[in-house]
Amino acid sequence: MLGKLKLSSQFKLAVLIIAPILIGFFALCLGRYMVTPKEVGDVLLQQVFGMAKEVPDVHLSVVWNIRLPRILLALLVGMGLAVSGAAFQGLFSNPLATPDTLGVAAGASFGAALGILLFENIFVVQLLSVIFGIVAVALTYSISKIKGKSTILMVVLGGMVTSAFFQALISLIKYVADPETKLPTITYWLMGSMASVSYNTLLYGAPLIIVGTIVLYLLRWRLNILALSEDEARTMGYNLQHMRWLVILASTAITASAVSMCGQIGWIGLLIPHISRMLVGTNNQKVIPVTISMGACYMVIIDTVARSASSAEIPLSILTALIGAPFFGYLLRKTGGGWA
Amino acid sequence: MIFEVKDGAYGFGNEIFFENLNFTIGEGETLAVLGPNGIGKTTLLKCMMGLKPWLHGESRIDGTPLQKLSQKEIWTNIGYVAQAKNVNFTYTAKEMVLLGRSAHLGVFAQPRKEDVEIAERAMEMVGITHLAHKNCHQMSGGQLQMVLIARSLASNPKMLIMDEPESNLDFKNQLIILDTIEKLAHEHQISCIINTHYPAHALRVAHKSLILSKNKEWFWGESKKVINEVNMEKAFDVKVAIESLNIQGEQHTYVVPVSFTK
Repeated sequence: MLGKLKLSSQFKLAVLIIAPILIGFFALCLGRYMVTPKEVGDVLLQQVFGMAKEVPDVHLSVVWNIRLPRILLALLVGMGLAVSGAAFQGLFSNPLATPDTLGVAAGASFGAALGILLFENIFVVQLLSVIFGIVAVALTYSISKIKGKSTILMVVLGGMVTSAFFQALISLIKYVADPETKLPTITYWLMGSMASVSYNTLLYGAPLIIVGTIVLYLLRWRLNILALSEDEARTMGYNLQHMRWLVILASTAITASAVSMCGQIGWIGLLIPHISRMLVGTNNQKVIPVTISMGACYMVIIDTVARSASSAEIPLSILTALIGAPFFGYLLRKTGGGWA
Repeated sequence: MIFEVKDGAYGFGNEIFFENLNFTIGEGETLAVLGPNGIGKTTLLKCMMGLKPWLHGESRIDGTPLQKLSQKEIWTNIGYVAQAKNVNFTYTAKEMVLLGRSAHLGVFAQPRKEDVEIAERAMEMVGITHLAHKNCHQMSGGQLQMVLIARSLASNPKMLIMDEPESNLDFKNQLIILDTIEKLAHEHQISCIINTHYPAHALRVAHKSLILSKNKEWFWGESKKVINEVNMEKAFDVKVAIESLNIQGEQHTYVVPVSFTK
């Protein structure tokens, strides 16, 4: 186990930071058109540091204009979805809580689909996405809360209800969308794709993910308190309601922002935090940094597979579910009922 | 710290269980709350520390009403030890005790080195240093209870409020808890309020006792005076015999339930 290894904490931190960068760098080389690491290095040196390097146009276009924004997006979305999953699990003290199971992803998707249908402005799409994400989590929360307590079962059921509701609304939007122009956009986008990303998309979408992740990172120790019973948590001397809303806002902003940029990508928020906990235990002070780093790595790897495995791109949600669903099944088998 | 309840009244909805509760707990004093099942002992504790609102009246810390104090001011003075229950996410004893530092730290702050040291000292105070790396959900009830007490102590409180700290525990663990309470009062001047089902425990550790009885009646006073055959029968409908034994120079009082009267 990682936590048992006698490594200094600085070294561990360095590994967590360097791993996604390294994986991102290799992802720049891989794809239908292969570029050597040295050539990638040349492109980066020329573009970032302004060094005079002989760079063929095709390398510049593939590495700098196509792959780099996409990989940056994958890093951001991966870390964001993973950390918001971990935060939701802390918030509901429920190992099954994720943006997907809580209905946040469905709510945010509905908001974004509505935005695409009516406005097409990335700002409005994001705003609607965030708003409906929060509406969804509030709905799940109020459904599951009985006598001031949300049991694990009720949270999951509440999330299913919320998800079903918003999925139906998404279907409604697809039904009324123009089949020539809007419907393909919405459908393809819902399945999750990073293909259409540009630096411009990143400029609008990245800030919310970055800010949300920083907030959750800073709250990482406090998240431990949320797993205590309501009364015990209140006696920890901090306004619990503020704390809850901060976590909800940060996590939902991340999810919604990710959804508005590249559609609904499931399973990350479940898979990654659980693997992190297996590695370092349940203390969120350690779980959150590991989750952020692993989420970023995982997403880049998945996206690289998605764009290079076949000549036609595989939608991301298909890949994450193909890997995530069996793992989830395995988790259920292994811990079956132990949480209830 | 002087803790005071002034004209306290509590209940469920509009139904008042008890009213005009007035009592004071001085520095290093221990109060035991006794009463039959369902009379609202836990509710009373929660009202005292503001986790539930009083219907009337208020609690005061050194003369200041609780409502006028910030959450931080309240929870750096009072530590609450809930009935030992497990949490879904399992922490080690040390991680759990460290959470007790929370009231002293800013929202985005991480525990510093001195916080870790204070947590370690709290574990030492109750003698659970050897459990530091044990997982809370693998602990026995007695161990978990000590962890929760250490967690409360980590916030350097002047008073502990414990909800039935020694119920569900075996003889030895009961004694450990009771000794800890006495030690905290004598050596660290930490006052303590406990709920208990055992009058003998109240007699052993508590300077004052509060007995909640039927018909909104309650008895408060020095434990040795207030825990008597008459009051116990009124409160519990049980005839009791209270006897003292001198064992190795120490006076031990035991309370034997003889028969129930209704």
